Amino acid sequence: MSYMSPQEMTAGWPTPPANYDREIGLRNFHEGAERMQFADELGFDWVSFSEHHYTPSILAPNAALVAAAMIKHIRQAKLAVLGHTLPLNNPVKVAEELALLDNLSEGRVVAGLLRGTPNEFQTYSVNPAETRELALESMELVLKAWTEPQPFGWEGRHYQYRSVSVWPRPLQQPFPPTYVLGSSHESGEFAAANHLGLGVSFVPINVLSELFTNYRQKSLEAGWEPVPENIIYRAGVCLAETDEQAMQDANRYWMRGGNFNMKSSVYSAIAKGDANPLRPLAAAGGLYFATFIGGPDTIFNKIKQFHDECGVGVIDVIFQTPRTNHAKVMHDMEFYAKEVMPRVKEL
Amino acid sequence: MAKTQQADPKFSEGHVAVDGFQIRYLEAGKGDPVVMLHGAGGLKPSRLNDLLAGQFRVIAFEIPGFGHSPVNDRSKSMRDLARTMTDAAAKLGLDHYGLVATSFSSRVALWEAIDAPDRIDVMVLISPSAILPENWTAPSGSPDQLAKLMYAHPEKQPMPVAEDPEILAKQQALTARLRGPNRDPELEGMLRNIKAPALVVFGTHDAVTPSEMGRIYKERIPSSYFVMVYDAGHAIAAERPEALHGVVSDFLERREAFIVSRSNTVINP
Repeated sequence: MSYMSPQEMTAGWPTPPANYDREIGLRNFHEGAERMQFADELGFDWVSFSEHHYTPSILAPNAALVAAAMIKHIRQAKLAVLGHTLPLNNPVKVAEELALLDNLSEGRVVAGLLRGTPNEFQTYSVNPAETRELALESMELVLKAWTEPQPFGWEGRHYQYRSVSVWPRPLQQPFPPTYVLGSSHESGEFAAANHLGLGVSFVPINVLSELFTNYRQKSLEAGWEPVPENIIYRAGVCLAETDEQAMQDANRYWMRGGNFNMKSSVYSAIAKGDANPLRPLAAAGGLYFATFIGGPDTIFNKIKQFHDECGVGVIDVIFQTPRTNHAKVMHDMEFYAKEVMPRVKEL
Repeated sequence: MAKTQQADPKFSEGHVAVDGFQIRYLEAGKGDPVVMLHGAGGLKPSRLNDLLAGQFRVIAFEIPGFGHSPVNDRSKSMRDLARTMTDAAAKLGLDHYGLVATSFSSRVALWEAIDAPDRIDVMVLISPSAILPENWTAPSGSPDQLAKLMYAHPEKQPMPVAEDPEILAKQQALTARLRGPNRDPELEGMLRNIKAPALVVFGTHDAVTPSEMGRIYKERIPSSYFVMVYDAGHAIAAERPEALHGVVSDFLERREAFIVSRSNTVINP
């Protein structure tokens, strides 16, 4: 969404607020809303919202807030809040926000719960070594807050509440379709044990296959079997008329690294706490790489491969990078909706 | 303000004669009296008892028929047993006290609170089995199977000490005889008469008495609070003793006001 050329923008994370141009920022919000509304008009099943901090790349420190602002503009598609970075959020407030959004949207919320990426932990100075435990405890507390009909107290390791009583209740019962988002075995195991979906972003197909196999096995042990709709794969899509053009576009628009880069000493300090969240970033060479690059047939065949080999039933596609402009994103969305999406929906 | 914790206290043993029983008890600590009633496994060393004795006068009774005490074929029901335990406390000079019951003894505690409302100041039920699912059966199986039922993390528990099979059989026969139906309409119909504030605590991973049962106590007991201890099974005191002690001691001290935080969040002055 950045409209400033990279050489003018301070590289690395966090980006100083001094770089923020209010006119460009406002235009970004208007055009972002236009894109989300367009996605709904094109027939996308979900519009997804993510939480990121301290960067011009994604101006959404509160995903639920953006989703709420779009309720009246997205009329058919579900509002997929994918999602709250749990170590940064009060889990009871997460439960409240999503329940409130589910009511405001008349039952169109899809919820994603995640640990987050290492740069995000530093937003509120959360100890990386504690984020796995924070996320797991948070997830359990969110589920209890949605489902327990009586006020209850919670004596956790990281959270203590003496009286939780969430109003409103989610409109969708017992709670909105919920996914654990993460590329670790722990994420899949928690999802399996609690009969939740699993969402994974950007990893190569061999990694996804390993994660899915583990998730499916743990689900069977817990007495249920996942269906394709239980598995989300989030990917960047660089679509063009031909494969050759798509490769040229990928080199031009899809860079590695970007505004989530941190100093190597900071990465090292994070890895001392917990190396696990760095794996997908390391594998990807940083964020903003496109999983699917090619013409319509190539893109469809690759998505089909993820569906056939890994059981993916929901594909969450990203068309924009900091280098793409609004017109191109609108074009690519329409092109995908016309040339690829109908075939994907048939899978 | 929470009182300063002392070193683990030394429990002294005593006996009190009530209803023809010689009831054994262990006592330690100073302060407001708190009576502890054990679960179906009998009176055992408990980290919770140790921690509570740092702040309260703790009297942990051994229910007649448990441990090395003679077979108890005289208590007719849990309500009858409750009267015996109330009398035992009175014999020790306890006009009124806090009452903490675990699992099996939760029905005893509830009947004490119903029948002796002026003696029970405050009540805590830990992993209570007073209200059970309709299809509930008592846990059984090999030691490994029982461990998986009792603990969220059995692999973190020490190897269990082999128990005297005669004592085990005696205790199991007593609990089976007295336990009563999974749902006791007489008891549940009288829960609304309980005057004492009550704290009901479940482990989130309790495979013996599901934590969902906590909501029924909350619904039926007028001044009650339902708390879940995260990542603990049925034996909460064994798995997360500090978390359990924190909320139990606070409730024993402040009752309903325990929901008001006293946490100090100042990082640096």
